[in-house]
Amino acid sequence: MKEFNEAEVLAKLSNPKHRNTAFGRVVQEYQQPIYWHIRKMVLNHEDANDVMQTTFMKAWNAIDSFRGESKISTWLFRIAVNETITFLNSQKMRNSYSTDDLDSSMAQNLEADPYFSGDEAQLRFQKAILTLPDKQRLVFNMKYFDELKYEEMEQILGTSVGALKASYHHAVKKIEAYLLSNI
Amino acid sequence: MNSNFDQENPFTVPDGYFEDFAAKMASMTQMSMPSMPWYRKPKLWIAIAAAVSGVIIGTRLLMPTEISTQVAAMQPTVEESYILNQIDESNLVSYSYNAEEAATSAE
Repeated sequence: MKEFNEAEVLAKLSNPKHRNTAFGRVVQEYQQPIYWHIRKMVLNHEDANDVMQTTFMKAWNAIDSFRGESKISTWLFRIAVNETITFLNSQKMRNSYSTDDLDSSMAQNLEADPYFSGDEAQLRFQKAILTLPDKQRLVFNMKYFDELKYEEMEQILGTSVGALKASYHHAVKKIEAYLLSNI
Repeated sequence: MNSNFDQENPFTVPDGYFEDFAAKMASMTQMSMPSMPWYRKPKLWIAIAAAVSGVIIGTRLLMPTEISTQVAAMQPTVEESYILNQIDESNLVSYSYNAEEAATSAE
């Protein structure tokens, strides 16, 4: 497949004639990083699929408002983050869960998930990550798994690099403490 | 921490998931055109222009009518014109003067 050229795709997105094809190219280029980011937050495949579909449809509907002030990936990640947080909040509201209840329910579902192929250690690691507050979990996943730079995360989350570094540091400490107490 | 846990992805997806998703999105976007922001809708700008023009034209049309009504109200009627024509201007002035004086002395 031809290499993704951001400027070319942006030009095509602003042209109604080529918009559909260009958006298809955007989906192909970014669906995997967006999916894995969402999946590591919601854990379940079906939920991740729903949130990703909403993310891309929101992007499609707002394509005329996107003026290329940020990279397409930053813009998509921003929508995905908002949709994921909205989804997690709605889960808590719908099931009258407290944050702890939801985390333990998600951990149990993970054990039974046919699309989780991790071993015992990886399951314990995911459970440790689940003990973090949503925003901190988001920062941890973006840094640890998605390997985003702090500067990119700053643009996506609107949080300063200093605050992000502090949040990641606290997250690592909490995960280590959990793992040490659950050997 | 990296020494204990590699970043290998423990999650999987159904076979062909990403190919299917891209195809599904393509059909969804074919069916729905993106909604334009309000400032890019030509029809909205035409409506705003029409409303502003309406207000301007309406104001212009109403104003002269109102002024001419006021001017017309200040014009003497046929009867008043007849009476005024019958009175000599000097009499009219002295009538006004006497009327004013009477009003002052009454106070």
